[in-house]
Amino acid sequence: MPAPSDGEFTEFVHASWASLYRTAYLMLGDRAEAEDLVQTALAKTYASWSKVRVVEAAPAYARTVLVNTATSWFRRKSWRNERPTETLPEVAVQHDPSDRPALVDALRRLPPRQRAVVVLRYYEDLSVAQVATALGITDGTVKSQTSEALSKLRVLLGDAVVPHTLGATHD
Amino acid sequence: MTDRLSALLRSEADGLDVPAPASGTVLAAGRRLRRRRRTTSALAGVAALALVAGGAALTLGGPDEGRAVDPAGPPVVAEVEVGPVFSIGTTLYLDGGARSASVDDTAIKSLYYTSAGVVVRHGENPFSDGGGAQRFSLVRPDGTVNRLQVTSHDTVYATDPGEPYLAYARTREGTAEVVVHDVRTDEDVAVVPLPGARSTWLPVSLSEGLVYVGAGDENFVVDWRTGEVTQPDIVRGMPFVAGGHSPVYGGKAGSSVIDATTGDTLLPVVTAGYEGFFTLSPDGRFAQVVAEGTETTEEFDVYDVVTGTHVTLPGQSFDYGWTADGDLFRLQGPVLSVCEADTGDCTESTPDLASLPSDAASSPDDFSRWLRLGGVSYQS
Repeated sequence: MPAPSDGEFTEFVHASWASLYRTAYLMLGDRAEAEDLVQTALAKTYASWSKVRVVEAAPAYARTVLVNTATSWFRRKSWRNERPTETLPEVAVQHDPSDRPALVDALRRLPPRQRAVVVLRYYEDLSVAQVATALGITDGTVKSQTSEALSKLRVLLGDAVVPHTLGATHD
Repeated sequence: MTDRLSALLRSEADGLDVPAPASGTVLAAGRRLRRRRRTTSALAGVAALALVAGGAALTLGGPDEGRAVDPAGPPVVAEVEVGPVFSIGTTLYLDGGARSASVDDTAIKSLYYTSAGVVVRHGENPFSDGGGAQRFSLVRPDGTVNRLQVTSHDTVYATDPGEPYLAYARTREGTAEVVVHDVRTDEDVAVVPLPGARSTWLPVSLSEGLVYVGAGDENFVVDWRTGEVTQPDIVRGMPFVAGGHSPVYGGKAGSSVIDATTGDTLLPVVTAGYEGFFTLSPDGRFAQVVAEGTETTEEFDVYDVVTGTHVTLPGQSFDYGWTADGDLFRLQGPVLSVCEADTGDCTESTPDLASLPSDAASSPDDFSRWLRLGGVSYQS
């Protein structure tokens, strides 16, 4: 597609901003970083507009760019200071399911790819195949990463939030 | 069935106070990014037509150098992690064994990280020195394999994990030249002559847009996008540059890591008690101490080049490979250990492998279980 006019792209930014911001926040757990991520992803989308075949595909393209940008940010040294712990509590902690800090804190404790898989499958409600495409991995890796992530979240958030059958039925 | 996790995620997201969209900031950043990409492509296109004063010619194109370069350039591929990469025989394992690909050849010689995937150097045997013909394939993060047009004998190749290029040097009609090959399009994007280079063995290293060429007593630095060739005499001998950093071997006096552009010492370490040298992670952030001599060690140190802090990892450094982003890993039988270079924390897994690595062979020509690790050059 030819480059968008400023007006067209501004309209696109306004239409997709909130949705991308919410996804970015769930992935990063920090408001300022989320805003930075969305701005970066949309700037990259603008610069790569020729790869968006039809305007209807632009939101999905921007989301893919956002997820991949977040994944590359996680590899930076500064991000490694916030690192998911491999030492989970032996017994699932019984959180109040409406305890928001517990959910965001639990997400932060997942490795970056598992975090991305959880957000894309259970917030964006993408299929396994769609998540595989967005992350550039196979369907099998999506499923295995989902299983591992849910196991960790089950320990952190309890069976009420992550029942044992969740992974099997979400497909 | 109510998806409690999904509901919680949506509740968390819906309750967010979303800031106003910064469309002006986004547009400005997007225009800068587009200009930067166009400048990179334009330099490549202009250089195809230019003759540098002094007779040096910078040409672009594939093996048929009369072919025009697409000014729009190849599409930029978003980075996708490949994790720990290793091969057993001619099976390449990505992401620590989560997926695999088969290379159609007799043996794999070494593995190179690029932003487009893993470039596999392969041939009739796994050897580098005197190993005969070298052939190349690109294995993309999704496991698809594309044979590349690049072939050679006894040439040292280099990649930068942050870019989709394979660099090397060759001699044609008596003139040494640097070649940069885009592995996504399987086309040469730059051929830069090295006037005055006398050596016929030209090892290279590629880092941050610069090709470092070791040419006997001479060393060259080539900015392949502009065609500029300089001899700053900072990186000497066999060039090893990653992330703009380069290790300097000092023998028993100790080795260091320098900034390849300025020559400033970044990491001065005296490896007391034994001769040792540094090998760098593919992104140049970490330096692994490799012990030489007759002593063997059961552990080794890995340094953060910028902070100078270090961690100690178990085993011998030779047993470890690197991921593109600075983790160390080793495969011992069925167990894969992945260690973070900044913390020393290691995790183990048992990936599903078609076969286990082994040095034992049923015959001298049996390379079916030879192990090759990503981030290790296997070239001298």
